[in-house]
Amino acid sequence: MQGLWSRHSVAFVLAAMLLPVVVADFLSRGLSLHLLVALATVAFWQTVFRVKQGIPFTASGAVIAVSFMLFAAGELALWQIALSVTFGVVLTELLFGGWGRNFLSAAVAAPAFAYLSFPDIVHPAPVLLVALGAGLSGILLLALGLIAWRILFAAGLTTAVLFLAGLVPQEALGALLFAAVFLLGDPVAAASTHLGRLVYGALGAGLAGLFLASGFAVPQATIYAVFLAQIFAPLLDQAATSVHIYRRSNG
Amino acid sequence: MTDLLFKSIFADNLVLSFFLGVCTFLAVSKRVDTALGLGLAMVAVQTVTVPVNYLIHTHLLSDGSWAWLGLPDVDLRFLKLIVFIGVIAAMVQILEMILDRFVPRLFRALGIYLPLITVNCAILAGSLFMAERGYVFSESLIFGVGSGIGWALAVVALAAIRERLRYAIVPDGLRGLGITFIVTGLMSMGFSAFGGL
Repeated sequence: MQGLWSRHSVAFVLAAMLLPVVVADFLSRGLSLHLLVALATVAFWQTVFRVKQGIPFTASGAVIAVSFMLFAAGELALWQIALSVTFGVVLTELLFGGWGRNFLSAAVAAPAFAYLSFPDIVHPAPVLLVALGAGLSGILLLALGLIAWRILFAAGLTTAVLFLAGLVPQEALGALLFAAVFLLGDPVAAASTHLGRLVYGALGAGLAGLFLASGFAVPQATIYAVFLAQIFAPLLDQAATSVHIYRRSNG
Repeated sequence: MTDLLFKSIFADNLVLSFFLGVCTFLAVSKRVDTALGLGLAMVAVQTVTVPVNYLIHTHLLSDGSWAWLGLPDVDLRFLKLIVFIGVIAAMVQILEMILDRFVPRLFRALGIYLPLITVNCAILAGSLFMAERGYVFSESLIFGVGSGIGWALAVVALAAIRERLRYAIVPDGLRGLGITFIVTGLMSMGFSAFGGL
């Protein structure tokens, strides 16, 4: 199946896998205005950068819109949604040459911008039904080999331990599962070495647990945890490579 | 103490929360190994200068510290800034000689930025924060270590990100420093979450 996967096909499959999540959200909350505005904003900027910089369109923009719909579902005005998504898609993705060349996922940066810029707005946690949709997509993506099982394994194990210790509330599970599959597992911004992936997954889940335990709301805790894990992902890869080199030269 | 250590590494990170020492941060973050060397140098300098400056500040410079000599009215607080810088300069000079003798490769790679640690505002800010916040000796030691580690962590993480960004296609006007500023801003945005802990 090696030859099948290009930047476009990966992005397309990722976007298609969002469908169960979108359906789950639609069934419990109805049609989200956030989703539509975010999609339109992403499409607008992708067109601008296609024309000005020659950066090809990518279907993974849908991940940004769905992530924004789930994690920044509060009472944002239309311009606030457009501004946050613009920040995410332009400053973390398109300026670096589009999806595949960025180091931080725009699907994380857009909600984070909304939290920082409009701190008064309360965002509800994603509904539990989302966990079902994200779980289904996660299994399919794992089967297709589009997310690294090490990330999901480490994140899942850490979350399970924290959950049993009572640090992670039950209503956070939908958010955490979606985040693990689509944000932490993002094939571009995630760590890409074996050891790096294990540490990266554990770091993301551990930070989420830390933020949740210290009183962050569910969306904020999840998004900031993934944000920080992705910032440190390149460093974890470097460290894993150094460990590997050291082992080979001293083994 | 753990609180203070955690706070000085993450929530009050000198470069990502206060934007101190940004010049060296941006200049010596192209490669991870050089950045790691500079980071360790920062930790070493910070660990020594903050407690030493604490001792000087409390026992020589603060109001009434010369009372035992029969000079209760002497107030040398106005010398604070210049003494702090002197201590830092001496410490950096010693570090420079040690690196030149034992790690000449790192010494050459750091180049002008090693002596420039002397005027790195992050180092001076470490000592000034210590004086302003009224830390006791043990706190100043922890704060020195923590703020050094925080700076080092940030610069190494930035260097790793920049190495990964080698394949990024950045618009002409933003190549080099421009995009690095954006990356720094994004990192700082992430670190702002620690402020809420």
